[in-house]
Amino acid sequence: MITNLSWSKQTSFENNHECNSLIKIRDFVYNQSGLYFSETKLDSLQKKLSPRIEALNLNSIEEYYYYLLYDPSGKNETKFLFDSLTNNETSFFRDAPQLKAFQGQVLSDLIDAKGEKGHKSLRILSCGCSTGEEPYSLAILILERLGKHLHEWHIEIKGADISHSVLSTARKGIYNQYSLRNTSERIINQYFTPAGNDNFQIKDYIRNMVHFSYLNLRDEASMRTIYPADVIFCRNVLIYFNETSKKSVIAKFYEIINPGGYFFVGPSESLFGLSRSFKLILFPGALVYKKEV
Amino acid sequence: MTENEIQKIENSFGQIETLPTLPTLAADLIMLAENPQSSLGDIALLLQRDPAMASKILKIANSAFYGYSKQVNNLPSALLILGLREVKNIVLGVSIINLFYSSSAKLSFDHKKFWMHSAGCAQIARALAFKMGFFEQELEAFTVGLIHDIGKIAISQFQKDKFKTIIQLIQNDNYTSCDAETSLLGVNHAQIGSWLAEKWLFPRSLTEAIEYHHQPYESVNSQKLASLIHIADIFCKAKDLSFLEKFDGEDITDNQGWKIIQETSLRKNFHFDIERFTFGLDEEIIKAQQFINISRGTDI
Ligand SMILES: C[S@@+](CC[C@H](N)C(=O)[O-])C[C@H]1O[C@@H](n2cnc3c(N)ncnc32)[C@H](O)[C@@H]1O
Ligand SMILES: [Fe+2]
Ligand SMILES: [Fe+2]
Repeated sequence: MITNLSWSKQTSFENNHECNSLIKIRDFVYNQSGLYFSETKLDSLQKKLSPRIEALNLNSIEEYYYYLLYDPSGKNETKFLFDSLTNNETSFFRDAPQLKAFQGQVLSDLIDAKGEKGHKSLRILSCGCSTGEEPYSLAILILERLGKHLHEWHIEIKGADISHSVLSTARKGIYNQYSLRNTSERIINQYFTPAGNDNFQIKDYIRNMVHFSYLNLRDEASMRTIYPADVIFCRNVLIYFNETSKKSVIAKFYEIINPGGYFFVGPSESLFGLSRSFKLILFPGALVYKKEV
Repeated sequence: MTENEIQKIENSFGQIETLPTLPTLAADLIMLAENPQSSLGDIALLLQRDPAMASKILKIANSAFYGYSKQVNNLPSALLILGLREVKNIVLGVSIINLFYSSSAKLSFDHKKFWMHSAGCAQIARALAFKMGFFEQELEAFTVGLIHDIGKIAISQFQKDKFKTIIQLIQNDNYTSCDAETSLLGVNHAQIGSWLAEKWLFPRSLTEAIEYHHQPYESVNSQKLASLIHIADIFCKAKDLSFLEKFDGEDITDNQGWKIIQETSLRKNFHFDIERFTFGLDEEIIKAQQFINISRGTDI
């Protein structure tokens, strides 16, 4: 009985330590990336960390926390940390109504406005692009939209993400059936080549339309590397952020979107209560934000 | 409407003998509901004449449309719970759908889409009225929503050739529906619908809202109701439930109808969460579909 009690005291003491370290890691992650694990999500944070802790042969979350802070190779560790904590779920042509609004009215509006001024250039940014499906989808949509006029335009599409591992997948441009589950046969035949094992690789001329780079939305120095854009996609990324970091990222986006440009968030996301700068435009089946001219 | 416009409608539609008439039950009910002396007992008596209608009312009372937690077992309790105005609203709605649904099925357009647009608009207008605190207008908004585009049915039925040209103008030449109609008929579907509703002895507030659902600011007596329909119409389009109208996207806060609704709202400084309202519309559209199914007796 007594041993039992002291044992349980012991564990709870240890748990407490572990719990504190977990919270410290949570805060560290939040400060570094804006990804926020609330009290109810701490469990999931722990689950996501444990494979990495085991791989490093460390014995506790606390040890991992110190490794992260003080180990000479700890700088690199944040890279692994973000790789294992981010949710990278995505697919080609995710949320058709939004992309239809992009390819239709949004592009028409931009093409008209730019054509008038004689600047035939378009800059599109996919922030939190994961393994590249989103920016490549945008490249295909633009290509199909401009058709034979494509060569008159200077098109720049950038995919950016905090996770290096998704970026290297994106650069290779090889995808499985799951990534292509919303993609028509016609598109696959036209813009991909079989790459074995039921995989497909995006053709080079599409691949060359998109450039990938590291971006941490929460890091000011990193944010300074992104240029003004006509359209920013940041879909299903801010949902992992808390209100304060959402607000600051959105304010930054507002700053770098060109007047008359557009901002897409995920289909169930909203800027209500986060920013009053953008105009909300209702499109068939999609809500899109616009920065006034 | 000007004399001249009414003349144009009568020339095109007035002579037609087969012009749909509202079932006597619905017509009687409108009269009854307008009469301050009438009671629920009078309604119950009226509904005994039509058991099919009575059973539909009961079904609707028990559906997600109202979302009551308790089962409503019989007509008298349904009448008590719903009240005179709601019952009138349901009977009108069911009658309208019964009256037009099967005949519209023979026409040259996608009638399912037409009814989903109409019922969706009805339900959204009602939700919007509730959200803005316009409790007086909730039911009227539903009824007007259901019939706001009924003039299009009349055109497609009695002006078949011109209707085809109208569709082409909208789809290929970027005309608005009203402009296309006016260029061929001299009047638009909103005016024709209002004229029909007048024939059915609908109250003036409703016929005027139908007439101005595309220009609510021009309405004198029904600005608010016309605006509710106008805005609900746009939300319908934003949910991809449009019917023979082009929609290139819209900032609703720039819309005159929206401004009228916001200015007349009793909720001062109320910051309307348009995003959340739009997300919630999926549920309203399901209710609208249910209302159609029950009305037609295809809910099983
Ligand atoms: C669920 S994916 C969304 C992918 C794509 N935008 C879509 O909607 O299909 C979220 C992506 O956001 C990235 N991300 C999370 N926090 C980030 C940050 N602070 N800076 C940049 N990217 C971040 C993740 O690495 C992940 O790849
Ligand atoms: Fe209309
Ligand atoms: Fe309509």
